[in-house]
Amino acid sequence: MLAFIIQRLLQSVLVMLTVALIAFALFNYIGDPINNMVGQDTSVADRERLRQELGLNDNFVVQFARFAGRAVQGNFGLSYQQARPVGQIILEKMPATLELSFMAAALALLIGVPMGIYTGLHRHSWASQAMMAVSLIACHCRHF
Amino acid sequence: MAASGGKCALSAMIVFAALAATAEAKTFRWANDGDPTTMDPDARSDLFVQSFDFNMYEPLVRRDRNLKLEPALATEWANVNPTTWRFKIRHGVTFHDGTPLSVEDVLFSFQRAVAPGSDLAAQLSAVKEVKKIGEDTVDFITDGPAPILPNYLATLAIMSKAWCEAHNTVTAATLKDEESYATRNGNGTGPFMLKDRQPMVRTVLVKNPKWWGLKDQPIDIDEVVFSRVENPATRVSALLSGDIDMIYNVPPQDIEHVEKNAVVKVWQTPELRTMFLGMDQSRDELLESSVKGKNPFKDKRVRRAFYQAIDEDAIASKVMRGFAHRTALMVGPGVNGYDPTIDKRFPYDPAAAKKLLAEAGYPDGFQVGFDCPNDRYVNDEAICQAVVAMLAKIGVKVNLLAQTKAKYFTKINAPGYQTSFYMLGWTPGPLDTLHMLSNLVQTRSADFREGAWNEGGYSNPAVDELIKKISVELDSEKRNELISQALTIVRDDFAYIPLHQQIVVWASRANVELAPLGTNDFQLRYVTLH
Repeated sequence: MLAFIIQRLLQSVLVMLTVALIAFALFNYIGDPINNMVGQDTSVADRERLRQELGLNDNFVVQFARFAGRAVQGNFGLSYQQARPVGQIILEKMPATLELSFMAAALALLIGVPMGIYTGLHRHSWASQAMMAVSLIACHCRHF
Repeated sequence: MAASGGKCALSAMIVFAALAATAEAKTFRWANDGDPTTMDPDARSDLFVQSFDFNMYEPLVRRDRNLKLEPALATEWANVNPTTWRFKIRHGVTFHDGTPLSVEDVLFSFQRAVAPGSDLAAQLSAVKEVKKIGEDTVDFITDGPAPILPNYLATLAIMSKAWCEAHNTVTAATLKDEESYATRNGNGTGPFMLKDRQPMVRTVLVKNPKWWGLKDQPIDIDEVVFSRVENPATRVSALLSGDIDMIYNVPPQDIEHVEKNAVVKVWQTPELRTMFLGMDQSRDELLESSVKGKNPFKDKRVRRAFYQAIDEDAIASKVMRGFAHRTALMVGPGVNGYDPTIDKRFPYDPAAAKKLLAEAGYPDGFQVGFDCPNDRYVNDEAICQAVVAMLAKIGVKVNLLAQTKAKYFTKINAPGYQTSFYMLGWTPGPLDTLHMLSNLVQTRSADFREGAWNEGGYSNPAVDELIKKISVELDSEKRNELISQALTIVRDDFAYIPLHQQIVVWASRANVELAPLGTNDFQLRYVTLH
């Protein structure tokens, strides 16, 4: 059991690293962020200075290592858009996210699982049919 | 008896209602797809951010409803000598936290705006020194004569030195590891004060009851709630249902639908941004073309052929649905130096265009790449597609690359200028033609200080000479004469193919009055609610 848990934990680290890598690579393909950060009058020299300061001139591996290294310490840096720590922005949104996910988990456990067991045991009863219909409709609701 | 009792009750109710109405705070709710990302007036020279922040902060001189400069924190200003602008600072102004405004704050604000972290330094680069002359007088000393310095000072917010020092924000937020206090807090002298700031969601401002301008210009609204609503359809329906009072930038496809609704008003103003096409005229061989060994755009006949092959009337009426002002000049009405007498477009004439191409040695046309943003201007990609179709009619095969602005600008901008043919829009920030000329027309210098946005590398010594004169001429009549000369040369050289100025469209509930400005600058002090 312990070995299984460790294996899964190692797997999750790998998954997180891969996701981080893909996300980071995508960011590199959406173009130069400097243009979205400064106005049209900002001189070429100032743009270059900013690029240097933000480490955007370093090669991809160095940039990713720096990002991942800081991220594991909980430091996600500053948002280009808002000039605020990204960690803080995530924390602000956390309560609502947790509330939603806990509620969803609770509903699934308390209603979904018993319903599933019941319909499994009494496949042809009218109650099962009704439950199937309700869950099908719920499944097709938009997620917002 | 019963009837009069009823009347009594009714009139009591009316009185009550009237009282309630006067006591009730007027709240104005508006929305936009973008958020004013920072409350720090120096951090970003982004039009929407500055427009928002300047409800709280004020400059020395500001723009009125007609975009003319008028006194704000300075009561008067003049050139005391060709390189010195003297400003008299207004008496009795206090910041939102109660500290009185002093000359020290002006000196401090200038230093903050040119320090690292600020995005305004380039606009103030003409200023060599700012000097205190007396308790209410300050001199801006420039390297050479600077006729449009006051235009630039209209975007310099005056901040409180004491407040910035107390909160450790004497320079604007650099993107290092800490958040600057001024990013989410504010302390200006303006008609509105920051009450609540939830980035990317909601920002609440309240009326400043001690604003110096109240005696001449009463502020009608007590509270302003700004919400960021990303989805255009949601924004429009929130307006129609009365959840909000005004939306900024109505999507063109919704204008007709919104206009038909009686509860809503549509506000239209020609914008100061000019949309145009540019051509690489500097390389000996184009980067992206079937023509090898020479550059067809170096030939004026080819540039003219492109110009006359484009049916701007069709672009304005079909693609822009009429929300465009066709232009022959690289600046539009509202920009100082715009001259209606020379704003005459060369006619759309594909036959003449084909003949010109043949004369230039391209009877069968040629291929050329075309760069275009797809998320920067109103209908940008659609305009470019129309251009492709129109040029196809004279035998030019245009390979359109429409992409997101971050990638597009990286490709076409300094230092690489990796483009052969492109579409761009330009708003002269200080509302003066010089800004357009020195960025788009002047010969590119090696350090990119001149002609930084002259992506096509147009170069004409006669125009360069005129630009030098314009930049130091203090007599505005003489200066405007020089500007007209420069604009005429640029037009007749086919240095660019000007298309149109787009029209700013805002929409509000029918009970809202406001001042729509061609700068897209939305000032809450002009808002009234009936």
